[in-house]
Amino acid sequence: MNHVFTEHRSCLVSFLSALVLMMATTAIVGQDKDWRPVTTEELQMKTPKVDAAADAEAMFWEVRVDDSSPDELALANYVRVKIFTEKGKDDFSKHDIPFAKGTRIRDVFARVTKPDGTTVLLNKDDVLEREIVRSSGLKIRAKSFALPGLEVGSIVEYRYKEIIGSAQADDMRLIFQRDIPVENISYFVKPYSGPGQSAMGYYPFNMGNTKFEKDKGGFFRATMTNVPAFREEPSMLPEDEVRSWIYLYYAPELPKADEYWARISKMAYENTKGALKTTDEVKAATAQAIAGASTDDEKLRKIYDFAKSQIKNTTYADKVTDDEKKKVRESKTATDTLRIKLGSAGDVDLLFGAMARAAGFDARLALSGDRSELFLDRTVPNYKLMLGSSCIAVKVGNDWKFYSPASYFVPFGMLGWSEEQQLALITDPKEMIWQKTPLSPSELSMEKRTGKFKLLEDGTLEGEARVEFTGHRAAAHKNFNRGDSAAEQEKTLKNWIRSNILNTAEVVEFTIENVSDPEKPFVYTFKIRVPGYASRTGKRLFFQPNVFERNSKPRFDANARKYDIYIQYPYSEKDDVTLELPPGFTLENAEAPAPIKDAQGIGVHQTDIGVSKDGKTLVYKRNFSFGNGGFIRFGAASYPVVKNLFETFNKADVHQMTLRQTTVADGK
Amino acid sequence: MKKKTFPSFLFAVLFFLLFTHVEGVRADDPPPGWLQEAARMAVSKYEMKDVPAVVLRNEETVSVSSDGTVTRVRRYAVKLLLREGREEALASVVYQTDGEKVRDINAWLIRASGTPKYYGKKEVIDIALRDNDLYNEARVKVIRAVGDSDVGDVFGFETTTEERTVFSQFQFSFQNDLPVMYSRFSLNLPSGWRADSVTFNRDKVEPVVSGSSYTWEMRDMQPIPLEAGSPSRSSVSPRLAVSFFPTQATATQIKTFANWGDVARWMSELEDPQMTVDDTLAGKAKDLTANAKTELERIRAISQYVQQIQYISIQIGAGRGGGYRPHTATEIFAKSYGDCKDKANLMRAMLSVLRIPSYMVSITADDSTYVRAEWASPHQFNHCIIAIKVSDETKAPSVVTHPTLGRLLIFDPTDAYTPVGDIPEDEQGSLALIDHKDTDALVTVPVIPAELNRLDRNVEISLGTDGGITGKLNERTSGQSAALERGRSRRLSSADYNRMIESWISRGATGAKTSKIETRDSNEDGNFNLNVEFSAASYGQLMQGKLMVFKPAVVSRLDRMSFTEGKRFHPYVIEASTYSESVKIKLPVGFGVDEMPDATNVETAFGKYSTSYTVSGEYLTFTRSMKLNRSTIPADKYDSIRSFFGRVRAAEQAPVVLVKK
Repeated sequence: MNHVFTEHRSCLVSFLSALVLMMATTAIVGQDKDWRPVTTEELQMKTPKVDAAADAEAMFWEVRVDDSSPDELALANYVRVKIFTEKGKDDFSKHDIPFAKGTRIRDVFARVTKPDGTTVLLNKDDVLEREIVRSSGLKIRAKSFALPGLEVGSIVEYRYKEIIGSAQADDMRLIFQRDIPVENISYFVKPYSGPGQSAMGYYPFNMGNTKFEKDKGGFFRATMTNVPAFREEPSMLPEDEVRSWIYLYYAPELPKADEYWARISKMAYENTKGALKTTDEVKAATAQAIAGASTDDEKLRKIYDFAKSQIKNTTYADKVTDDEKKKVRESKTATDTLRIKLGSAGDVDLLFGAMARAAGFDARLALSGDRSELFLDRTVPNYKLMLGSSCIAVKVGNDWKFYSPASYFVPFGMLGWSEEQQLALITDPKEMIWQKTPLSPSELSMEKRTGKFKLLEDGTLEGEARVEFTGHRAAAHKNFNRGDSAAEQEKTLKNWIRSNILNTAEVVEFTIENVSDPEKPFVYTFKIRVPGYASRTGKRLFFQPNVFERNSKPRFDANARKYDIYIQYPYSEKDDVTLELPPGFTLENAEAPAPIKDAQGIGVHQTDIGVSKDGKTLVYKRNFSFGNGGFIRFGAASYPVVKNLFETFNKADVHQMTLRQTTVADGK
Repeated sequence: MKKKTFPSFLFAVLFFLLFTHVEGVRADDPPPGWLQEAARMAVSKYEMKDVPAVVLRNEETVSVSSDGTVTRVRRYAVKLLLREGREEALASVVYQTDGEKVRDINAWLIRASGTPKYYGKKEVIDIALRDNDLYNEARVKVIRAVGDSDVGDVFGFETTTEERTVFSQFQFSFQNDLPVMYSRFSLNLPSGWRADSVTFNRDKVEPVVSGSSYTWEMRDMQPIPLEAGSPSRSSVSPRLAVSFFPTQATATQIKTFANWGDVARWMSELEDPQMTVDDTLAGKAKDLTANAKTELERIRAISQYVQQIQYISIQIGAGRGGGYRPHTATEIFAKSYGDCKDKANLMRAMLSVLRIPSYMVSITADDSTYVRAEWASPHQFNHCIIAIKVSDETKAPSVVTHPTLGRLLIFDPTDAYTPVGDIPEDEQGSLALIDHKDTDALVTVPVIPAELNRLDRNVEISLGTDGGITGKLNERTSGQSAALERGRSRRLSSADYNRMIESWISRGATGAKTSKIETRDSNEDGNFNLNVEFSAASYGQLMQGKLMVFKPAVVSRLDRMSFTEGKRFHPYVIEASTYSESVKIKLPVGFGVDEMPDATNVETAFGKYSTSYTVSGEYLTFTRSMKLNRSTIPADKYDSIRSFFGRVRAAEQAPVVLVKK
């Protein structure tokens, strides 16, 4: 935690703040009207300094955030970019500055300094203003300009001021890592200096040793140099966990983390006390729901099932009427939720908590981070930044367990993947209770595939298959198909089958089960015919016994990687295939790929191949799991090892077998 | 980078506006009679499965007053048959801020239960139609009821717009892809005025005429399925084009076009005065061509300069023909940016300095079948290119001979990747208009022969005893194949381009590592060269300790084309191209060939494909070649395409078997 300023202000126009936040990623300004001189060295620069392969590189990028006025927030940017390639020229040829009602864009200047040193200034009349969108209560306009005389080797500069009325630099992100490399990027921040108690603080993320330091004119300055461009990579951490940025906020005081979270814990506990109250109605419903349950686990499961099945979760439901929405808005407590049989996702969780209490458990609201956005760091005392999710913590015996029937497609005993393995604050009036939510093991998120196929002499494959998903994999499929018609769901899955098996696959007699069921596995079955499945030579037929992996590729194919590898959750796959071989052919090899397992057993791959006694049927079994032991994050340095491991898995999956023709088939 | 950030910001705003639930405000307003009547219509059954919605009524009424004021009333009703059909619950009206007003826009949702819901001003979202243009007066008003609607509901809307225009022509689509039960276009003209019409993609629809009012209508149109490789939508869906003609005494500001000569003259009158030249521009043209020895070299030097001018679009005064008038050439030159007509105009001005005459050419981009000769109208065009008058010394496949203007080299300076001598694929074979006063007919843009749009690849592979390979690949493309590769290499950052090449190699050779990626783009011949060096472990699979199996088609196996649907509704369009590859494989020490696939030869009217395998000493050479002719295969010949590409696939998947000696 860092604090640089002590000031005050209270009001925040949330939409405008959000807009400021978005604009701050692009904005510009300059108080002076004079351009800083371009040096000969800059002009003659032929290759980028930060990234030799860059198309364009910012020589400097400055943003002045002036929050000293009580009435407005002023952002002033000044950016200088060197263009190295045609693509860089394309990227910087046009510039748009969007702004909302209440915001003024002033002093827009731009110039291009050509490689020969001549400059072309942007004509004032060439700054065009247009309305992007207008609707009831909202108007977004944009000032746009094209940079004149732009060519490769040019230096582009632009600056402008953005004055946002009734806004302040609270809950604001300063983005240091941009889409292009930057030699030097600075944010200058001048906090509000009027009367009051609030202080401005900041939290740096992935910023190294960069801090705000006092600068001239009441500004504080934070600078980073040689910042590479931000680029997404497959299977990476959420952007906020890797990109360089600073979070600005105002607070009435500069809190110590433990004291802050203790206060949040207490406040949340007190605020949910009423909602979690065990009224007679809740008690009666609970008694009925848990009738016949003898163990704690059984009771909680029945309550969990009740909350999911008896309450319409309006966050997930397909059709929610205006009347239902109104009722949900007016509902305040678990008892209300129970009465109207309706609730938002949060209401469903609270009802579960209240009923758990009614069943004799200690149940509390637990506040956690969201792994898909930003991990909870308890040393950062800021709930807006850190708390991305919530669930219900229930004390079972001596242990706290976590539940969230609000996540409609997540089965009992699991949380949504982004809520798992997160630090959670179990609300309490007196003490801070931090506990990590568990990570579901790989076997709970399984793709189980069974198939009975027949290989024809010409290489065509025919047969039927069943594919079943559980846990997080089922939830992902159900969410993806949610809201689609049966026809569309079938189309989606057929395309998926074709991309996994072979795009010549003709898929018929398709069924999908449990698309909308909250807990049952997501299942689909189909019959398939795949011309050209096996390759034929003069006397042999080559085929891949794992039909389901016919088209699979290794998870990673890039030669290098910058960021850590991050797998959302542990998962597993189980295949069971029988394959009737064509008459007149015999297996030339029945070797199975060797088992694969890394030293820690994070990834395990086992294949068994057998042949029926009559030699006519091949039996293929595969078990694969990854993320075992809770290992789902791997350092960038270990990329070659992880990549190689997945290539080895893939090699085993696409293992080929050979049939040799012994006689000419007579069809008998 | 502003450019990238802006769309995401805009998207966020639009997402908020378009995908958040819209609350109705006047639920008690009954829908108009025409909509209630439409909602009662019995919906037909369709042969095609999964029809998401059916259009019950698609109607536009245009009323023209003698002062040139045009009032349009549009009525539309759609019934939602599937969940996906909810996306059709959208009202929209496009308008130009310059001289056009949306007088009214109202929408209603009639639920399956019969309950209506009204949408009015409060639900209207007004959006810039083209986000990418620096400035454009075209806007669209939208009412979105998607969040409210469900299967069985009927959504309808009515819009009224008013404009003053110089144009006297209208287009109307009877249908897009959804089935339509009733579609109608009506035109009300002042007394004595007359109208003509042309119907595209169907037999002529004759109007019902009553005085100066005309009505064209169609009923019960089947859905038009979207299929890969289909002709463009504009080539299959029924469309109407209407021109009206005032009497001499009235509406003198209205521009009428009786034939293509009228259109060409009008266009040239807009364009020709903009071809300005000053000393700086002239100096640049001379500098650029100082070392050029031939006419073609001079044209090429100018073309390359204009191609690298930034494409920036500023559209003002479209209702008065502003969309057809370029900025002056001197202005474009000074700013170094402009749109398609600006680029063509600048090139024309620079060529004029060299005393090379040239003409603006109006065409439609992205659809070579859109422009039809039977309707003389500038509204058929959305793009501008150039025709350069060349002497007999200039030989190029993109030259067309015009009956009055002579040999003309067609070139598109907006396409930064297609050099002089070639023509973008989507413009080849299209009808286009030379904007010159002596023009009285459209010309057909040349189709570049398949032999000039080619890819030639040489691969040298060394196969190790463990199945690993090291390889060198050289790929040389020309014509539109080169334009495709050139576009990729320029549009992507070098890191992204290298990633793309790595992925491409890895698709054929799993786990491949590329050690060198080099490109060379030749301005002279328009060829694009790619050199890659790579290696991959375990490319060949060892079996039983004595066999090794591998596929000699290491990269770009043509196995991604699939024809899985049993029935096809539309013809299949094939573009012309030529492809050849030679793969020379050094076999692993101690292994000999046990089995090789048979050579393949497949020949049809639309294409030819062949493979061969030869062994010489320690090398196996695999060759494959394919030539596709520009063709449109009728739907009832669909099996011939399936069969052709099925055999191609099988050949490319075929492995070679080596055995340990």
